[in-house]
Amino acid sequence: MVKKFSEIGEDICRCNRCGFCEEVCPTYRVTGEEYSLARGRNRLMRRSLEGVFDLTKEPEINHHIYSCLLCGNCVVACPSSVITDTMIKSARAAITAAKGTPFPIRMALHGVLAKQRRLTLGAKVLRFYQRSGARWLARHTGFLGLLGSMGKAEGVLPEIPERTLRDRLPQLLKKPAQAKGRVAYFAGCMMNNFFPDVAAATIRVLQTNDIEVIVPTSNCCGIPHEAYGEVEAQIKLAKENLDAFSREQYDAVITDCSTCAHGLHYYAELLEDDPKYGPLAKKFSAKVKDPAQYLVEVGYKQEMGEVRAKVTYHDPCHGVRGIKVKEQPRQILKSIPGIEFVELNESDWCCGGAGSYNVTHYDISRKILDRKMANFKKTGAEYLVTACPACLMQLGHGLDVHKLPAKAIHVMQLLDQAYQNLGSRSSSKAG
Amino acid sequence: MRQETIKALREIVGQEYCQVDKAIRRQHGYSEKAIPDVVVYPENSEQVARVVKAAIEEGCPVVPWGAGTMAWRGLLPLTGGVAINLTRMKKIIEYDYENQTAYVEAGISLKELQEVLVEHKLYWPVEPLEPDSCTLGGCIATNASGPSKLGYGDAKFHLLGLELVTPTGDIIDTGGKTVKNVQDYDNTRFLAGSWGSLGIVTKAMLKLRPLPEKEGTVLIVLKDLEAAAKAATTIRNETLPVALELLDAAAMGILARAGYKPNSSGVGVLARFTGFVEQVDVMIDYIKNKYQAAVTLDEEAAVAVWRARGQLFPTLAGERGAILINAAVPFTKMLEFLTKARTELDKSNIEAIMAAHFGNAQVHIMLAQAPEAYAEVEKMVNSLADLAGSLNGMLVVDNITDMTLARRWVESRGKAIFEIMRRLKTSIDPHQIMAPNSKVLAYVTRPVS
Amino acid sequence: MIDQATINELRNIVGKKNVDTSKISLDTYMYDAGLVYGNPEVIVFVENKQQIAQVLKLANSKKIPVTPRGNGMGVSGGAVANRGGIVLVMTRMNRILEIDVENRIAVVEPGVLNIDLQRAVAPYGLVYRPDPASQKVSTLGGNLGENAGGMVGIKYGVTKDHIVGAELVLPDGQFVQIGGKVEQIVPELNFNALLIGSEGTLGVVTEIYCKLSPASKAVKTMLTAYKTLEDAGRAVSAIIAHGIIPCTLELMDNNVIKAVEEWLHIGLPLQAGAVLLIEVDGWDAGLDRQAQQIIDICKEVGAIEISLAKNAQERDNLWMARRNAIGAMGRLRPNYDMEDATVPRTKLPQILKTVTKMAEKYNITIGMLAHAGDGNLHPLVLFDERDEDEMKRVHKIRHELFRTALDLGGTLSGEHGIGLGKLEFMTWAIKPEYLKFMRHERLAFDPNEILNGGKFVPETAA
Repeated sequence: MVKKFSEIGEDICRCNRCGFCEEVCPTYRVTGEEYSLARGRNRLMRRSLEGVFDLTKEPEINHHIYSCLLCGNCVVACPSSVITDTMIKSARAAITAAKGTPFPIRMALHGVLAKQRRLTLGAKVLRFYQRSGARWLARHTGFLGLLGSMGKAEGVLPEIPERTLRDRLPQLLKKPAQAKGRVAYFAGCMMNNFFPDVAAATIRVLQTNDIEVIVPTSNCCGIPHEAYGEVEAQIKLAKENLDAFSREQYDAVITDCSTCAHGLHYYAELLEDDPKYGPLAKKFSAKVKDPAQYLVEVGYKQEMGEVRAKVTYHDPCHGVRGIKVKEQPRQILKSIPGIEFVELNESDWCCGGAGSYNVTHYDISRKILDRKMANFKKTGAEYLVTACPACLMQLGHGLDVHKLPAKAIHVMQLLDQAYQNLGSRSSSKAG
Repeated sequence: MRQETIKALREIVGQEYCQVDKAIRRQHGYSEKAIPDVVVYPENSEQVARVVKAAIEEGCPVVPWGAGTMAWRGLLPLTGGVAINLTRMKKIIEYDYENQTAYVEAGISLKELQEVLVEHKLYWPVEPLEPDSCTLGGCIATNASGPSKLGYGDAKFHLLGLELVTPTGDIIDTGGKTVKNVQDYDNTRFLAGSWGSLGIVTKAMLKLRPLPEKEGTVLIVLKDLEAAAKAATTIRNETLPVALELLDAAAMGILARAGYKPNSSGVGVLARFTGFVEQVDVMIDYIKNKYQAAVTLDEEAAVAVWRARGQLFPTLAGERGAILINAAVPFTKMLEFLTKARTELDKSNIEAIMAAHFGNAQVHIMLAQAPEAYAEVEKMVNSLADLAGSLNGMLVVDNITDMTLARRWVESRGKAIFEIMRRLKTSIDPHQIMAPNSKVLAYVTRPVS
Repeated sequence: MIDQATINELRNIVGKKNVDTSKISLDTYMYDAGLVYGNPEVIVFVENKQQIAQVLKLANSKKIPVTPRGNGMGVSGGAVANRGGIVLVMTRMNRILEIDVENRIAVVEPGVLNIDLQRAVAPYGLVYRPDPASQKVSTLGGNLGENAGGMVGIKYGVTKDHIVGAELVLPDGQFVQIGGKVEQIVPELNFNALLIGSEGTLGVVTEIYCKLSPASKAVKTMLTAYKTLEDAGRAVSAIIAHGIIPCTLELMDNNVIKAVEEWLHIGLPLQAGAVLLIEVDGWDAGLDRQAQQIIDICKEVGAIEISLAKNAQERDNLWMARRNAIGAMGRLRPNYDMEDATVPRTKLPQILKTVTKMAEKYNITIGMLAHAGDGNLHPLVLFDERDEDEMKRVHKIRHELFRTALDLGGTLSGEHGIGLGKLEFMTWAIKPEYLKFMRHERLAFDPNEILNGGKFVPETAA
C-alpha cells in the first residue's frame, strides 16, 4: 500500500523545522541550500498540500523533489522520525501521475529495465561502445560535453563484461553433495549485466557452504520505477517476480544487491492490500536476505585461506537503512584471516550513486562522492568493500577520478577469494 | 563652576558631603593642576543621578570615583567638574549565598566585601592592584585583574548585572541575576572596563565562587630567562594553574624589598593551584618531579609572595614614581619578547624590571623613571612597542598621558572603529559630560587639559 | 522592494547562480527552527568576506534589510527575514582557517559547524568548550550571534567566555577587528562583549577567534533519580553548596522520562519525578571522592536510584536519556516548541512546579529539560500547529512562563535569544531608558538599521 501524496498531511506536519536533518543530509552538506535539505523539501511538499504551490506544475519543486537521494539518513536523525523519503516517493508518484515521466526515462524504465532481454542487449551495445573506438571518440571530441549530466556520468560506467550472469549459470551452478539448505538467488539487473563476477562469487560462496542455489527467472525489482514515481509499473513487476518465485521452493531469497533486497522486502508493504498477492508477498518478503545477513544467520565455514589486505566498508543506503544490515558484512570481513579492517568515517552516508542519480545529477552526485573519497583516503585501505552494484559503480568511479590506489569490491568477492585461497598457499587478493 | 550649581549639589547630597576643600579635590585629581571643582559623596543612586543632571545643567564633566587606586592608569588630567565619590554607597543589598550571588553597592571596599562573603565560604575572585582598598566600582570600571585572571578571568567574568546611572541621568539595570542571560546586549561586560565613560556603575550583581578546598603555591627560581620561560610554558601546557607568573632577575630583586625574599637569585616562576585537595597536590607533585628547584610555599610564605608580587610597582616607584609598560604577545612568542626586551632595557641605565602574567602572555615592564620624565625613555619604549608589534602583539604605557601608542593599536582595528566610538559616545552622552578624560574614549572625546 | 537594478548589482557581486529570487526558493528561506516566518525577497549565497562587504554596502546605500543566516537552526527568529530584503546565506564560508595549538586559538569562518571545530582540535588534546545541543548542525557564527550555551555551561561558561575576537563587516562595508588573539591591554571599549549575543544587529562576522582549552583528562558520570522535582532541586542546591562545580547537571522530568523509556526501553525509573544527569571532570586524582560526595548528597536528599558509570560504554548509556529527550518528546505530537527561560538556580523547583500547573491548566503536554546548574529551563511544549485553539493556549503558556521567570528574578532568555519570538516581552524585562540605551548602541554600528532591523531591541518611541 503506497500512501498517496494527498494522504501524507499528518506525516508532513510532524516536521518542526528543527533542522537536525542538516547533520546527515548529503545534498545539504555539499550545497548549503535549504531546498536541497530534507526540511526544505518537506516545506515545499507541505506548501503544495496547503495549495500554495502545485507541485505537479512547478518545475523547480520537481527539481528539488528529484534532487533527493532517497538515502533515508534524515529519517534516522530526525527527532520526530519524519518519514521524508517515503513522502518524497509519494510526491514523485503524484508528479508522474499528473505529468508522466520524461521520454528517455520512460524508455529506460519500461522499454529496457522491465524487459530483461532488451536490457542485456542494451548492455551489449554499451559494451561495443566501450570497446570500439566510439568511446575514445566521444571522450576526445567533446561530444560528451553536449550531453550534459549524462555526458559527465559516462565515466561512471564500469567495463561491461561479455557474458551476463545468466549466460554463465550452466557452468556456475553446482548442487552441493550434502545440501544444508536451498536458496533462490535473485539476479538483479545490474548484477546480471554489469557485475556477473560478483554474482558468481556470491553463488560460489553459498555453494561452498553447502547451500543449493537456484536462479529463477526474474524481472527488475522495481526500485528504479518507484524512484521515478511509476508505482503501477513497480506493482506490475512485483507481481511478475512473485509469480516466478512462487513456482519454486527455497528457504531464503538471496540477492547481493542491497537495492534489490530492499525492493523485494518492500513487496509485502507494497501489495499488502492485494487479496491474491498480499499473502504471497508477505511470505516472500520475509525470506529476502542479504547474503552476509543470511550466512551469519545460518552459520558459514570459518576455514578459509588468507587474504592479506587492509579493507574498509561502505554501507549501502538500502543495506543499512533499507533492510537494516550493518554488522553482518563487518563480521564476515573481520573473520577472514589476513584482513585488517578499519571503519570508514560516515560509512553509512550515501555515496551519491543512488541508482541513476549520478547520471541525472552528476555535479551534486560528484560532490557527495568526493566527500566519500576524502573519508576513504583517511583509512589508507586498499579495498573499499560494499554490498550494492550501484555503490560499486559510483565508488569505482570515485577511486578512478581521484586516482586512489584502491579497488571497490563486493564483500562476497572477498569471502569467495578467501575460500578459494584455502588449500593453496596463495593469499592472493580478490577480483 | 557657578555658585548655583554648587548650591544645587549641596542640596542633593547634603552640605557636609559636598566638598570644595583643595586637599580633598587634589585627592580626586590627576595632578596639582588637574583637579575637579567639587567632590560630592552621594548616599544612593538617585542622588548620583541628580548630580549628573545638575552637571548637565552646568555643562561640566563628572568623573566617578572610588578609592582612586587605579585612576593613574586609565584617566587623563581633567580640570574642573564634579568628582562623584561613591564610597558612602557600600551596602550589601542582598547576599544570596545559596545562589552564589551578591547584589552590592559600588562604593564598598573589596576587603569589606570579602569579609562578609567569606561567612558563607564564598568569595569574589577579582584581584585588583590594591586588593584591600579598591572599591567594587573601581574593579568594575577598570576591569581589574591580577595573576589569577589566568584561571578565573578578570572582573567582567564575575558580573551578572549592573545598575548604571547614564550620562543623561537615567538609572538602568543591565543583565540580571542569572548566570545565563541573553535578554540584553551584554552591557554588563561591555561596561566593565569602560572607565566611567558611558555611565556610572552604582550597583553590581556579583557572581561568587566557593572558596577552594585547597590552595597551593609553587616557586621555581631558575638560572635564566630561557630556563624559566620553558618551565612556565610546560606548566601552562601540562597542568591547570590558576596563576602563572614569571619574574625576571631584576624583578626578583625588587620582590625582596616588596616583602618576600627568595632563597636564591635568578628568574622566578610562580604558580598557584586551587581546587580539591587531590587535584592541587597531584599537579604540584607533577611540577616538583619535573623541576628539582621547585619548592612548595607554606600558607604564610604564599600569602607573602603574592602580596609582594602585587606590590612590585609601588615598591619600585617609591617617591619618585615609575613607568608601567603593559605588553601582550602570542604565548609562543613570550621567550623571544622577554629576551629581546631585556636586551633593549639593558642598553639604558634606568632600572627596569619585568613581571609577566606568563599564562596570559602579558608582560609588565616597570621603569624606575618618573612618568613626567617619559620623554627620556620614549625612544626605548617605542622600540619595545615595535618589538611587540613585530611579534603580532601590542604594547602600551599605562600611566602616561601620551596616547600615541594606544592609538596605534586602536587604529589597526580599522578606521571605522572611531566612527562607531564617536556615534556611541555622542548618542549615549549627548551633553559630553561623562568622564571625558577616560582613556578608553579619548580618541573621540573633546580634548582635555 | 528590491528593484531589478539591485538584483543585477547583486549578481555582479556574487555571480548569477548565487542570487536566487525564485518564489519557490524564497519560500524555503522564510523560516528558521522556531515559530516565526518572514518574507525574504532575495537569497544571496556568499563565499568570501569581500562579497559580504560589497553586498552590505549596496544594501546599506539603499536601506535594504539584510538577514544573515547560517544553518537556520535558531529558534528565536534570528535568521528570519521579518522585513523582507536580502537573506545572506553564509553556509559556504565554512573553512577552519587556522588552528594554533600552542597559542590555543582557532580562527574559523562563521559557517563552520561547532562540531567540526571540536573534531578538528580534538587530536591535539584541545576542546572548544561551548557545546550546544545543536552543535552538530549549528554554525559558530550563529553560536556567536546568540551567545549559545551548552551542557558544560555551569563550569566552563558559554560562548562569550570562549570567543576572544572577530573580524566584522559593518553595514557600510567597512571592516573592523573586534578583540584579538592576544591579551587585550590597550585602553579601549570591550566591543567583543557587545558583539557576542548581539543577534546579528551590529555587523556580519567574517572570522571568529575561538579560544581553545585543554581537554579534561577524566570524567565521572552519574544518573540519579528522585521522587519529586523538588527533591531533584534540593540535590542540585546541595551539590553546589558543597563547593562542587559539576561540568554537567542536567534535569529531566517525569514526562521526558516516560517518553524516553517508552521509546528506548533503557530501564529508566518510571515512578521518578525527575532524573539528574551529573558529571564532574578534571584530572583523575580526587574525582572518585567528588563523585562519592555527590552520591552521598543525593542519598541524603532521598534519591531513589543512583547509577555511577564505570566505563565509557556505561557513560554512553547514562547519557542516552538526555541525548534522546527531544526525540522522545517529538514523537508524541506533531509539533514541539523548546522554550528557554532562566531563573536563579534555587528557584528552579518553583518554576518547574509552576510549569507543571500551567500544563494542567491549559491541557498541553510539557516535558521539562533543564540545565539545572544554571537555572536554565527548557520546557518542551507539545502541540499541533494546525489546531488554532491549541496554539492560543501555547501562546498563553509562553506569556505565563516568562512572567513567572521574571517574577522569580530570572530572565526572558538564557541562550536562545530574543530575536522576534520574545520581542513582545522585552518591555516587561527592560526599562524604556535601557531600551533607548541599547538602541543607541545598535545605531552606532548600524545607523540605517538594516541588519536584523526590528529584532531583539524593540523600537521605542523616539
